[in-house]
Amino acid sequence: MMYSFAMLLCLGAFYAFAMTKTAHYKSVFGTRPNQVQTQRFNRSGWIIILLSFIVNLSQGVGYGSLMFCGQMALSVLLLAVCLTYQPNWMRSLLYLLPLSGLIVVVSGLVF
Amino acid sequence: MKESFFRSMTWLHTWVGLLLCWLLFLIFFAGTISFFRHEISLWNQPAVHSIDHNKQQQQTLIESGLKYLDRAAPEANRWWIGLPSNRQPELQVSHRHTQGEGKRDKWIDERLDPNTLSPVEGLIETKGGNFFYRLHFDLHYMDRKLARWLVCFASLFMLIALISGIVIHKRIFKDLFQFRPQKGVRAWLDAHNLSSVLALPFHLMITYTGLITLIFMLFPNPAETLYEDGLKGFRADFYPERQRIDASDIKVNYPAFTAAFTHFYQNWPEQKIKRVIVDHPSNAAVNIKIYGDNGTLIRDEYPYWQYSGTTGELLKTARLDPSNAEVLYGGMIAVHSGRLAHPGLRWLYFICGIAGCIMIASGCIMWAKRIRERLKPTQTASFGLKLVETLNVATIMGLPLATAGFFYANRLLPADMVARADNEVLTFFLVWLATALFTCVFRDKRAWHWLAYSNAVVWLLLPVCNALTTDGNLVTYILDGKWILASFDLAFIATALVFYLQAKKLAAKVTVNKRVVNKSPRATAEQRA
Amino acid sequence: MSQADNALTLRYRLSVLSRFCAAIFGGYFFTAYSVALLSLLIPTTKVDAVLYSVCASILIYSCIFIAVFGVRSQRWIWSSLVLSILGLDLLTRYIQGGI
Repeated sequence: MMYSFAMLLCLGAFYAFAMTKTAHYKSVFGTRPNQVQTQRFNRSGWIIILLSFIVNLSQGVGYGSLMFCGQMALSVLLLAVCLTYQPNWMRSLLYLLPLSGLIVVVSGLVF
Repeated sequence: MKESFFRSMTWLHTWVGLLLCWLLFLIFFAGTISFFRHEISLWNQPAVHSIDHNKQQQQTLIESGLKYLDRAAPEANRWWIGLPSNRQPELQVSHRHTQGEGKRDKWIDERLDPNTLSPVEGLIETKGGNFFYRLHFDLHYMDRKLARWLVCFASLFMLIALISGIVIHKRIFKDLFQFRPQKGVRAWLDAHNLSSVLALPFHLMITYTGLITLIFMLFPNPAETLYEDGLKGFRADFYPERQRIDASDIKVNYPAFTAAFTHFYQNWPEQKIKRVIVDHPSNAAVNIKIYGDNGTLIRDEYPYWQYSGTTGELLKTARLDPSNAEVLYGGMIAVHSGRLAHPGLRWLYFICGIAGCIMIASGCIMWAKRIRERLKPTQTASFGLKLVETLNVATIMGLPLATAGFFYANRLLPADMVARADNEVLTFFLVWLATALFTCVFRDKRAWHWLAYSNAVVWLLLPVCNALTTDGNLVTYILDGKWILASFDLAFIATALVFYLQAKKLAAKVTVNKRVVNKSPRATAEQRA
Repeated sequence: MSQADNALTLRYRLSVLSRFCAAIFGGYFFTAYSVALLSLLIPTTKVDAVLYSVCASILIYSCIFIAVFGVRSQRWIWSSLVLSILGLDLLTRYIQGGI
């Protein structure tokens, strides 16, 4: 359960990193990002990926770091495929990611 | 100076990458598949499919295993009990018998259903996942030692290619998500970069640790410097459990299992057991060896307890508290083999391995494409270029096809065939050979296209073949909660889908090329887009 | 190296071959001798010293490999490889008390 939460965090972080690139931002939102937005995406990307790493490590130092490497690979793969073939899905992902993160956390607390 | 360094690294990356890339592809491909080694062994042995998930306590299992062996093989010189896991549902009991002078001891393997404790009926002879596991470092049909040296050098070249690749690809994070499938060679470069960068930690780790697994063959020097008798002395020090125990002439009726195991369970109540080995169960030299399960710890060798079988007292232990060096070395091997992984991590490993295959494949394809692009219309392709192109198709498309062939052979060869396991392997290589011959005849785009289609068809029919030849199918697997078997069927279908998409893409490309030749304005517009 | 590629002279081919030999064989022997020395220098138990030095061996090998291709002068590569291997061997023997 914690690992799927970490996976979602990782995906979110790389989402933010992708949005710091002008070309990708443009293909998702249609406009050019201004400098403040880019910086914000970059910063939040780093914070979220750090969080993801911490969540992984909390589950086991060795196993967690292996999971983290794998999660990064999967996140980049998913985002690259999505950006290439269905860039408009990225916008729905912007709402879906926090929502699913919330669901995972809540269901983790309940069960 | 800096510029020339970059240039020499580019050169190095190209040539070190190309030189052994087909061997590397084979190693990566077989290695990636062998992350599912036990799962494949399970799939290949339909008689085991019906075994329900084990509900017995490990204590009961060990006791009944020992009792079974005492009945079935009292004269054996070694008993071996492997406890069931999530990946291997059956209880494995094996016994080893002394043969005449100068002959190697003979192992007899049996499998018990852990719930009924009776032998599993209708087993077939198959290598299962072990075939791919061995293939990825021993290759096949060749001397084992030579094969391992070859694999070592291929891995070294891979490591060099990775390092030089990092040096020359300055913008690692700049176009991380970039993939432009419409742009010819550029698309291949994107695929190459993407597949390398996204799993870069994995690629470096798996290559380095892969070399570490064979390191004592590659560099026996430290052991030879420090030990009088070289590697032998080192091994005796490092693996105390492998010390040979000689048989005794005094007979013993039934070894002191109860005393030994009571001591073990009392002192290490939390410890899960991986396997139990009994040496010389019928005479006074009897020894009981218990190997603990590492679970998800990053350790390779198992913690170890050795009990005297006559008195039941603890004789020695090993690796209960490993030193830092042991943790480092064992950790590298554990991370490589991924035995610790639960299904989630196992699939991540698999995805990273596939990324590695794509990285190698796109690299070789790119080389050939670049050379071809540089050719003037009047020039004919050189022998080297033709060779690379043929080997590319034969390896990249041939290996998946051969793997499918291996799975078909497992299901379709008669169960009582002589040397059945070898024939499965033979099918693998025959299919591969056939693909290679086919590509020698049709070297151009058509070979890619046709092989992609045949791969798609063959992989798609595999679940059908499975459903017809065994009792289960995808629906019953899902209903019964047999997720390993269900994911096989789903993975087969997914593979078929990927090849189908590739075939469609190749077909589209052929038509685009035709349109370019016709100089239709729409095609040029498309090209610009 | 596109100009060099076009001029596939015998000289060029030989220099490539020599570089590969230096990297593969020279690198191998350099690594082998250096890890042997390393295992003598690490102040732990014998098993640990062996394990540490074999774990480092691939790192050393790949650094040498890259260096051989990064350095311009071939004469320098070969002479430094041979000299350093000799030096390592002598040092190992000296520590072992063979000399």
